[in-house]
Amino acid sequence: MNTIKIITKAVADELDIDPIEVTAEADLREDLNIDSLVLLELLLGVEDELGVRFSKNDFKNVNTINDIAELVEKRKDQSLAPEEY
Amino acid sequence: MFRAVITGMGVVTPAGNEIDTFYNNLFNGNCCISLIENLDTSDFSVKLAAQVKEPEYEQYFAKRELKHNARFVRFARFAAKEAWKDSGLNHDDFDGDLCGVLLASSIGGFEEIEKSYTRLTARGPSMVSPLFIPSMLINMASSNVAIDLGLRGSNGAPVAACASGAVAVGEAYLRIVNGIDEIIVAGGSEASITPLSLAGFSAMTVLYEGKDISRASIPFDSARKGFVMGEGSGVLIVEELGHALKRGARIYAEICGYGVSCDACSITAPDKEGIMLAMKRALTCAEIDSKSVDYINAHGTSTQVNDRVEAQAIAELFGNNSPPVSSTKSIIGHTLGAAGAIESVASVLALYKQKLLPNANYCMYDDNCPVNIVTEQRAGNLEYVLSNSFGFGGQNACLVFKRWT
Repeated sequence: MNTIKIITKAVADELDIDPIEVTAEADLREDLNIDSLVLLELLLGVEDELGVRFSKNDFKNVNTINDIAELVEKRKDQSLAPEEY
Repeated sequence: MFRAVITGMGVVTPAGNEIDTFYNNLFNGNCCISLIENLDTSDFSVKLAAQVKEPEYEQYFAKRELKHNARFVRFARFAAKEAWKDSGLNHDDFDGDLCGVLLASSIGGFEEIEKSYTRLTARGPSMVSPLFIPSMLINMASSNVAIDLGLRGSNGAPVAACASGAVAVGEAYLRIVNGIDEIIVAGGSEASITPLSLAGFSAMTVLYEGKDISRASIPFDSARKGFVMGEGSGVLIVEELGHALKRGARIYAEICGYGVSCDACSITAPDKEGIMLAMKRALTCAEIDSKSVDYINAHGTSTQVNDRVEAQAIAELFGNNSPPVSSTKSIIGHTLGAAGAIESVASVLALYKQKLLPNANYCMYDDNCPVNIVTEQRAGNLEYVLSNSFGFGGQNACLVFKRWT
């Protein structure tokens, strides 16, 4: 599964809806009504699944699934194996 | 002084998640204890518990709404919705600024604490969920219910170990009679059938460790060997009498007395004097004497010490002709911080239906427990019912309910 699909599935699971209903451009907070703590939880799941590590402030610049995917690419260089966290 | 009445009730219990089922199981003495299902007990000496069957949450909530709630919060939200529906309250009937929520728990999100700590030790601090804290804090039941029902008045989660639920109902009574709020959604919730909880209580040697369901939770029986862990939630709509009458509400019973005390002598051992003081204070508050009490819904945990001390306190305060006594815990185990609230529901049902509920599976009289035990369901002429709850820490809370006619 590619990055966008993995993130979309995580968002859909959180919202309890079909991934087809989630677009990569939707604003997570405004359109999908995801609050900041739930967004942090989502990012934690993405980190875990994709083996990347975000910085504490990364979430502030994240508004859409596309943003998360870009962040994953950006942080891939710094990726750690999950057991090293 | 205002008066406080009960106009709605909801439960999530091992004996059922709606009032009629709960009533039938409880008053027929159908013991709801079984082998522990949701965790591997092979390393544990404890094998039995009184477990809740998942409520039909979808009646009230989208799956997403409950996703980040601890089990005890989910129980409370469901029971509160049931109680609210049962009360017949609708949008035009109440002023949210004058309505509150007091929902107790003894421990809160035990399961979330265990899981997050396991994650912390296995994966490190950065892998602990940002939703861990707001999922498990004890006051999250009262907070979520306030959001669900739009109640902006008094709010909180009294903590007094196994007396917590009774304290919540009692404090609701005080707020109503003093004119602070017009309605309080009051009760308790607990979900403590978890590894750490069972290990901790087991280490205290207070749990029954056999496999014989019919001899597991037998309050006041001479063969009792400890309590059985239960789980669940009980919620009552405590409403100012004038408010209830004005909207034509169905009234189950009145709360007319509340007495609390602290043993102030031991953290874990019950004390006869402290228990007597709480019962006396409740009777004084209700302005009745001990002869007026027609039934006592005992704390009755099925531990040797609790039942002996409670029975002796009852015998001393009420004399040789003590009112009939039974313990709800014989049927649904000990639901800790929910117990006082679920037992309030049981006491109110006793008054409303004019029936006494049995102390299930009671068969061996104990000379050290000189009280009149109800052994099977029977009709009663009940005017006043006393409900007892005591907690570790020496906190005692007693409630007096009065028949509504």
